[in-house]
Amino acid sequence: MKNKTLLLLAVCINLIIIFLLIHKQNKIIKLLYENQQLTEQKDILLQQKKMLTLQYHKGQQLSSIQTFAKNNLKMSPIKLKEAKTVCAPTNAHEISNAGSQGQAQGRGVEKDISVKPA
Amino acid sequence: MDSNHNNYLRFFTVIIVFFLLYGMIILNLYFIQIQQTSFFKNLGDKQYNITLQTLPQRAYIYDRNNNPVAINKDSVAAFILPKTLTQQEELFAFLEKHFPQAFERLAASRTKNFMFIKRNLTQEEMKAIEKANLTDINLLNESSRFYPYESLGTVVGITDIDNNGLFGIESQYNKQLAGTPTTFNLKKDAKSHHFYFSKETKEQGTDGEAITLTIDADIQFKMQTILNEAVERYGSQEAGALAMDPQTGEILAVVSYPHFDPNNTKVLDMETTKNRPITNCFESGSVLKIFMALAAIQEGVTALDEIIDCENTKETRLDHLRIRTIQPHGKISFLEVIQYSNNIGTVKVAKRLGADLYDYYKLLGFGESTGLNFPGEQKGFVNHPSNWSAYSIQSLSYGYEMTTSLLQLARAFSLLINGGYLVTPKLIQDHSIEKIGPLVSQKTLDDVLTILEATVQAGSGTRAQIAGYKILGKTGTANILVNGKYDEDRHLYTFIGAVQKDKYQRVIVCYVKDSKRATYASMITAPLFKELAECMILHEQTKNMSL
Repeated sequence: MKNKTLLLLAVCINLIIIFLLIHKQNKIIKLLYENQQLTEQKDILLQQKKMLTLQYHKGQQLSSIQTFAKNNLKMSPIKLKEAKTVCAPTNAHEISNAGSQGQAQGRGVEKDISVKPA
Repeated sequence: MDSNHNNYLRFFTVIIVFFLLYGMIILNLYFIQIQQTSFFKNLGDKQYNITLQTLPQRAYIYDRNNNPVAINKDSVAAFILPKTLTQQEELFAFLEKHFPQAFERLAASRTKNFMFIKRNLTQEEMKAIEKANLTDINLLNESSRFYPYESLGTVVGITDIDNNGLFGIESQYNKQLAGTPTTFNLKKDAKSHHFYFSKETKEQGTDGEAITLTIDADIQFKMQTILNEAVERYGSQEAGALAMDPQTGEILAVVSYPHFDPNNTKVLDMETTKNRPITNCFESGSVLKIFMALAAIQEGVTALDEIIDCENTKETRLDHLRIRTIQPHGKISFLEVIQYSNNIGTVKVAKRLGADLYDYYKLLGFGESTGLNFPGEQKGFVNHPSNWSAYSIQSLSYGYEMTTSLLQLARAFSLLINGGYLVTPKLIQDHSIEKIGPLVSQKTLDDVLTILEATVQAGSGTRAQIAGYKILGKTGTANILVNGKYDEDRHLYTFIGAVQKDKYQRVIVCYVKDSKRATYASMITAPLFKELAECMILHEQTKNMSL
């Protein structure tokens, strides 16, 4: 009787170990499969990102922007002598001067680009 | 007795049969398990273990402002497995109609295991394949390149169908950009298809390393536009321009005409792929006079105020050799000789230098590699004194019997601006500066700069002036050698110059070959220089301005 119980116990333990091993292997394969599916999804997303990046850069092509600006917006290239910039005042004194000049002239403080140091 | 004997015999026979059968099985097992172990192990491994190699994405190339100038895109390739075709008739009919070249290849050898129908399929071809819905045609995603800036084609280059660099930066830095593949060992069974049980890295590869150019892609585009317009305006055959920082040697733009679209290389004329400012050398004419002047002043054989008798003629003979010049001048200072580009005065001074002129040209980097190492870069040529004829010294003094690239001219001109240092030009940003010198004294540099300023203020370069900026420059008009003879009607127009304001310094050189409209560089390349310099100032100064 005692021997039979021991034998049964040993068989049960073995069965449990086998079950756990199979379960572990099953779990690993399942996770591996999920991992592969996610990797595939990631690859698809990366591919889409690549396509969007490509579209973005195609849209950014200077030649097409220039053609659009010239033909559709009737823009023309700026010349150096035409370039002016409105300088932002840097201190309170300049702000008050700029304000009065701007009010008097109805515009900001203009400065010729050619005299601005690099 | 008989019955017993028969039973024994039967039993013995059965035993023998079983013994033989088991023996055969054991023998077979011996052959399989022991004698042919490695064969069956390999067979099993082949089914169970798969080696997979993945290529890293080719690294991007950026301009100096971190705008990508070479990126990756997916292209699709179509292929078939000729040995395992299931819809032969339909496939043949489809290929004959849409891919006649593939049809011919397939007809020539039907026993191949694998055959590409076409790589890098167009949208129309993709649609045709999808519409045909043939199971024998398989599609494969491949990586290829897209170049957002068409004007950078001659600099960046292109890659071939296998994404290997063909020329330009793509070729020069192919290994760095491509990286190395990673090899994996996958374990799978025959029915698991894409699924695998384990994945081990057998050999770890490296990602491609991105490259940052010194080129400003926006300036490049603008300069290319200006150059194209100039070529159209003057009815020229070819042209080139290069802009450089004289202090660091960084090339900011280098444009060529004709050029090509790197995204449309189905039909590629190799002439259009040349980066002319770097790979073309030519006799550049009078622009070389400024370097002759530098040598003469440095050697002390003349001074700016020395009066030279230019004989008030367009043509004369010196030592029985004919010399011609564009405009007659009488007795003028050496400064004016260069300012007005008088050949007679130039030759008279150059004769005092003799073979030293050759040494100075070599010192300034002519006839030598610049150190850029760009694919196809030309060294040029300076006639060695041992090969000189009676004409050589006069030819060399105004830019003949020697060939130079625009890059060499820009490099030598940078020396005049940066305090006498010969910098190594760079196309790749690495924040290092390689330079040698100073090669000449500050006094010499000051004198040469005075000549250059005078040339733009009141000489041949007046059309290069820009209000508010100090412009230094020299024009050059050279006859072109055709079949061993200088053609009087064909010219190469050059301008080498610099724009300066406070710390802002840029060297710009340009050339135009042939023109239907004008005959002198002062009319063609001086205004072209002005246009290029203005676009550069406008772009760089507005970008740097803190509003």
